Amino acid sequence: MGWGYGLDAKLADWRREGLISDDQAARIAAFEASRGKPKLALALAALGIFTIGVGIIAIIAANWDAIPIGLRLGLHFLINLALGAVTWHWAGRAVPWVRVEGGVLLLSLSTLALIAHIGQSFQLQGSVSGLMGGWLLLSTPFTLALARGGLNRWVWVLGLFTWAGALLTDHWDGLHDRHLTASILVLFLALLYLARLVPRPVPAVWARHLGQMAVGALIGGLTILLLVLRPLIDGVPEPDVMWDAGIGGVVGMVAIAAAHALSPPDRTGVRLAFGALLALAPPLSVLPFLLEGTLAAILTGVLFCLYWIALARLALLTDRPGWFRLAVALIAVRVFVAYLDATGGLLATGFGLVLAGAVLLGLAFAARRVMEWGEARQAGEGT
Amino acid sequence: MRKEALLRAALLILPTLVLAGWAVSLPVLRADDPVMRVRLAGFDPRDLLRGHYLLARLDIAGLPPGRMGAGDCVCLTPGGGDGRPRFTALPSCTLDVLSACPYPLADPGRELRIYQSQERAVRLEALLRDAAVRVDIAVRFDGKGGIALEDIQVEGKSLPETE
Repeated sequence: MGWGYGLDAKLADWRREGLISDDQAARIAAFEASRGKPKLALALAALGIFTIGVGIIAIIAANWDAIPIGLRLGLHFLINLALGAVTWHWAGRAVPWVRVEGGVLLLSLSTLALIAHIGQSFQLQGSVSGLMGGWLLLSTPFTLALARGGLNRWVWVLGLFTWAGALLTDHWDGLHDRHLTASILVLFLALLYLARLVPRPVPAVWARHLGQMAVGALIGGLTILLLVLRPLIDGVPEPDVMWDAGIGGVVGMVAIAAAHALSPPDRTGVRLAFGALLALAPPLSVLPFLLEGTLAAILTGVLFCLYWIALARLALLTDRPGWFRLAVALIAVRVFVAYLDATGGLLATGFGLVLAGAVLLGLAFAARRVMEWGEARQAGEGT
Repeated sequence: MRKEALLRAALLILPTLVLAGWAVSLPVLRADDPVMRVRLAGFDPRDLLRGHYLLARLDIAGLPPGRMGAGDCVCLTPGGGDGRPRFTALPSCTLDVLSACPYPLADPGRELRIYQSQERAVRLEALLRDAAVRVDIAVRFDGKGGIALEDIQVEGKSLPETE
């Protein structure tokens, strides 16, 4: 293996390893040499435009309060209209998709800023939920219709979660008095999971993305609760909190199971097992909080490992090596956390540090072996 | 094809037009809302300024800290010369209850975020912290518990941009 970073060094490495022939290396080198490289003039022009842009923003920001409200808002409306017009122009033509995506993203963010700008100008005293709700209402139609890229999808989903979180905070006291906070949260996730089945005109890529977000939130939430939060919280939370969480756990299980079962292909085989694991996430998130002390610590660790072992098994069956590796890594982390719990203050000593290092090395070795076993197994099943 | 292009144009332009209509209509709709000048108090004496935003609350005579019950709505009545209105707790925040009050206010202990120019914000922060002079603001009541704020005054006079 060479130490160079350039194309020539890499081609030399690949030739030495027998990955490519001399002829292929020569053709790759010729192809790369023929490709256009950034021109100095273009780079200077881009730098100039960027500098002018930053300068204009700086001038506006420094004199913001001196600009009359009408003029400020008027300029913002014109910027929004111009962004809409440019995006419309690009959307109807065979231009690189990144232009339409960029136009939609800028218009979407500018619309959010415009709502905040109006609120600031008229001292409206609005809430975050109102701001984000207004933005979702106005930007969702054009974003869903025109954007397909990951950045737009992530920005929109981030806005959706911010709106939902702010709305939940606004009504926290009333919902908590009725023990409904956790239920509303899991019902929101169940609706999001159900969105994977939404038919056209919602684009398939959006429907799939929303479903994946719900899956990520459910599994990620359970993981954070069992791996981080439960070990950090001593004792059992207040009874009214446990009632709220317990009701939410049961409601969540039923709602997620129903959202999963609504799709006929998801009712059999591996997909059914995955749906069961998803539906179990809400109640399993609550269960360790019912106990305290050593029993709670053992149950939390065992539940975490069993859950991720089950996910790893499904990952093997469905040929998803990324999920399998993630499961192995998380279980290794959990085992190390259990070791730290068990050894207590030993880490403060040199011997304890050496021992902890040895445990980490052992876990790394074991995790690597398990990953290799998984890869070999997948390769065997694939042939 | 033409229909699709028109639909795209509508999707991209309508949100801005809706917001423009809202911004233009706000002063018109507010013009008839009842107004009361209410004294301001620092929301948290240790932290009154966040960027350009002054953090304050309406200084309502006898208002206890925390929430005022299920609906958390009150009916204000103009106070004496101190600029501190009196209040009566309302049984709920439903429109029929709120409409019976000329100055209804939801969440009366809320934190107000009042945008000011940087220089004014710093001066107002000092004035609110000292509490030696009267700082008040015109509050417009929309009749549904919401409010809009305008024109901060110090001892009855608008604060100029610069000293």
